[in-house]
Amino acid sequence: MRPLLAVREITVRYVGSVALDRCSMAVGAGEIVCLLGANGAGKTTTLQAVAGLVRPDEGVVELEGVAVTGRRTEDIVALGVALVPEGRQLFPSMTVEENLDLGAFLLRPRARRAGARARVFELFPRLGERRRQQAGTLSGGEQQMVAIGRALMSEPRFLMLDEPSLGLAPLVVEQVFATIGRIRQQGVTILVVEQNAEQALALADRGYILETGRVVLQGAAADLARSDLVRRAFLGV
Amino acid sequence: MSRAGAVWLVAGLAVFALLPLAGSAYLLDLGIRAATTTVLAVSWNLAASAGLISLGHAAFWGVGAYAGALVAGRTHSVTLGVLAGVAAALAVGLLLGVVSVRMRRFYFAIATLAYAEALRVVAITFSGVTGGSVGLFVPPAALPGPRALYYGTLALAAGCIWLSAALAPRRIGAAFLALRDNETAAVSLGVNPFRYRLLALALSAAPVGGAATLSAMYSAFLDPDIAFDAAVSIEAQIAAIAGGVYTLTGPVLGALVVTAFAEVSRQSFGAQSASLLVFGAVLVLLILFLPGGLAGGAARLVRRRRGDTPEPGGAPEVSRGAER
Repeated sequence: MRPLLAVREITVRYVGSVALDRCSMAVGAGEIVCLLGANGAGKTTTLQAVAGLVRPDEGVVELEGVAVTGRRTEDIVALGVALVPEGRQLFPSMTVEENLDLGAFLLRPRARRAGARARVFELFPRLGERRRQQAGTLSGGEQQMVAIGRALMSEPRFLMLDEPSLGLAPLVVEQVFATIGRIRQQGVTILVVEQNAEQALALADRGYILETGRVVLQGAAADLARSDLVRRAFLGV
Repeated sequence: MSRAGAVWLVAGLAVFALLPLAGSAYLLDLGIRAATTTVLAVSWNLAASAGLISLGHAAFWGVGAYAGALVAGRTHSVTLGVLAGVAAALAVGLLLGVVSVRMRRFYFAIATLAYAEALRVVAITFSGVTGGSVGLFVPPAALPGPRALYYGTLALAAGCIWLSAALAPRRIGAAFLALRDNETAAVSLGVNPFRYRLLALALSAAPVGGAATLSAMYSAFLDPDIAFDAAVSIEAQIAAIAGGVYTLTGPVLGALVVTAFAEVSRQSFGAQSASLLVFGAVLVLLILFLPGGLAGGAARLVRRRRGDTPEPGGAPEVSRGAER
């Protein structure tokens, strides 16, 4: 089976350091795959390379077998890829609704926007209640909902989330992960970067462990959760 | 543009269109200056709305003025002159934009400052075309009367206001705002920062060239120091900031108030330096106590009188996204 996303041996160098070193991974259609690793392991860079925000120095990024390496972000969004960036990155002065609408910036025809918005409000009823509120005044959990909802507004086939649990209370983290599961049920393939290894492995089908820009371990999420490396490094047992 | 907004624009235009009927050359002169400042402030604000803080609108002004004056001088057509001024400023906006809209905030500002200065030197050097530092007289055949100049500038100002109002609710306006508010997010949603910022700068530059042409016709004379005067760049942003940056009414209000205030202070304190000092002091006070400008202050007053609760967060308009 040809994977939805294939990352083949990509290397990304920043000035004076190597963020990704011949890193490879694949995500099959309908899967939830998690990407674990310490700070600076290259998790965010991987997502940015897929999203076209960072251009790999070597290697290839393929979507359904077509190379998209080095293409502009807008082209990649148009191919059905959406990114929920780390730290939510909302437009603070805009309302919830305005934030969501910008997620549909490339959605054509415009008439599809109303449907996309209705689906987001179905997934997050709270956002419907707060649609006219300034995004900057929402709680952390609600802001994360806006960030995820905004990414879904482009009606993506493939959703990437960068540390969706960052800075959220444990109960809220559980809600966020439950939502990610529901998004998958709607037919969206998911790649999620997390520090919270326990939650991520409980949700994901498969996982990759990154260390200083290289994949050091990969496999089924359940196997990873039992592996010595993960138990020592991430689960603290 | 909303219906209420359109009504305000037409009503305002109607009032200002009656001004020449007063028959006062002094009022007409003031009106031309107010309309010119409006073009500058509204245009400057359009670029600012996309996160482009320009310190060099004098570059567009100067190039527009020379192109407009030269074409009007050759063709003896005021209309062709203004069109040439608009086209030249648009071209310079695109050209400078291509090399500089990728720069981050402060670097962009500094770059624009340098462009205006560099172009001033270019204008001195290429004296065959510009007349160099000796200057350039616009031939009398290409000079409209003050009343025509007034209506021309007024039309240009109305066009600028309409453009800003028309863009705001559209996709382009949303892209501008998104880039200003959070560039990282905007880009990851598929907004091409280069394309939209370039568009913002070009649309901001074009009308300035038209106003510059009319202004050159008004004084009938142009030299590099007048054409690329930094005061133009400063006036554009002062009027926009005093009135309320990132709003539609703010820059218009600011242009009117700044023009009126500059005139009052000039008359009361005569000597240029003293009047400028008072002018500066009042501006500092305005920015300190009305961070959202006059428009922001007026909006707050209306809310208070209606007894509404303050906006959650209550961040003053100017600080929006300014931290980034």
